Amino acid sequence: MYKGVVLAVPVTVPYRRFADQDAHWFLAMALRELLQATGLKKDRIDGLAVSSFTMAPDTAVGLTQHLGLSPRWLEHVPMGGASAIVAIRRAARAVQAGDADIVACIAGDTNNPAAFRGILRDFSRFSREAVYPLGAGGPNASFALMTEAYMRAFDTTARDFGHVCVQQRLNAQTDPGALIRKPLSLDDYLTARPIADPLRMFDCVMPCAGAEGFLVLREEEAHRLRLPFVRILSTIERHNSFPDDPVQLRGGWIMDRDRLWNAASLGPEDMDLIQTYDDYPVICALQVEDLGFCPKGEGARFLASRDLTAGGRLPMNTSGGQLSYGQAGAAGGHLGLNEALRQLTGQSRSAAVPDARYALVSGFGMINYDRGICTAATVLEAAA
Amino acid sequence: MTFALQCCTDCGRWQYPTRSLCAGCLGDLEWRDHDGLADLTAQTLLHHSLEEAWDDRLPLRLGTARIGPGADMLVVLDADCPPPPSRVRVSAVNGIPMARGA
Repeated sequence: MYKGVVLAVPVTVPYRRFADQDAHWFLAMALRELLQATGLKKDRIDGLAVSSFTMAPDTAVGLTQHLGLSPRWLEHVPMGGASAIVAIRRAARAVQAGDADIVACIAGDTNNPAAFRGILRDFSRFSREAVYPLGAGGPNASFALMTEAYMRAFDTTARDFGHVCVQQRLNAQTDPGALIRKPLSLDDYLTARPIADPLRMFDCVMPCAGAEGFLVLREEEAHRLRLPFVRILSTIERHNSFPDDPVQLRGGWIMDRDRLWNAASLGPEDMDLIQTYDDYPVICALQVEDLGFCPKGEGARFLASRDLTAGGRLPMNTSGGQLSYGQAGAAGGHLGLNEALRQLTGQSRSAAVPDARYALVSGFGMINYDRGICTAATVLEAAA
Repeated sequence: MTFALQCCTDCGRWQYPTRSLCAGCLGDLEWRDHDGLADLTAQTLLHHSLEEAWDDRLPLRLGTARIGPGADMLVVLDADCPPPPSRVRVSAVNGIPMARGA
């Protein structure tokens, strides 16, 4: 599907709860890390894909002047947690067609309380008009409504969701990059401070500052640069799926999963690890259902029945995921993608998944009003 | 009690939040009185707000009320509003949609 095009060089600008630096600094640091890790000169980067929520009034265009880059291919991907996979889709085609040779995909955000409020208040026209004025609950309120409806529709318990949070925290304890590494028991989870019923504290991702980056380039170029790389077997994206559903109990993945698995000539059972988008555990349940790992409505119970650690039956979010790393704004989806790249190239900072060959990475983004409207997924293969 | 919502002059579909053209058929829209009857499909009790102005109203009960296909309103729920699934009546109080049992 993307023959001859590969992904390489996962870099992370260390996460912090709050930062004085702006988004431009985090994005610039991601680019600097990419150059340092490869020895490439800046002018070799002739394609750039950027995702960020806090770089206003700039877009990717302004960032080129800020960074002193002169790319011949440029993409701004404003799709939140679906951005990493969408950036891959755009960049891989550009490289395949010869519109760019080496594309840097970077994402990052700063974080401070005022900036975070500002993002949420003005997140979208609908949010400004019809969400934020009702109590300023932010994504916690949106995901609480989804979780409440999901639990009632599918007879799910808090314990089921708690397993995801507890196991991902176990994963985080093996990864020095996670901001939250304190051990978490199921009892801690179930008795934590309520935030927006039925969500408690450990259901809710912690916003933070940070950045992620990786390269999209031709396989022969990766060989020349002696970079470990990963192959892209298939990808999907979908926007505003099922607009007439009353509450989001399914996502666009379900419309496209046959295309995803058929193009890869693989199925869910072939995956050695998965990286689901995990700002709230309910969305992990939707992803494993909609991508075909289990029937609709069984996602939370399915995950609760699996060992999600690196040595387990279904290693998931092996770095600890956003629920332990924190959510660096628009880099949230890049975190899982980069963890998959590290695992598949034997560079993981977290506990290594043994003999990892195939990975699924899934993205979800943009609670534009009452639901996330961008979904994406990719199947990746380690270079033999 | 009624309140005004956008409605499509071509297909009759109610809109929420406000659109520029009908989200169903891209027809023209006009404001019409709606009787406020809706289906409550989800609820939460919000314990934390990003704005201090809301602190003295916490915990705040919120819900999602379906006016029609593709038209779902985030609403503040009255204390005695029955839990979902239930039939509710929505009205506008100081510009904020509020729901109580129908």
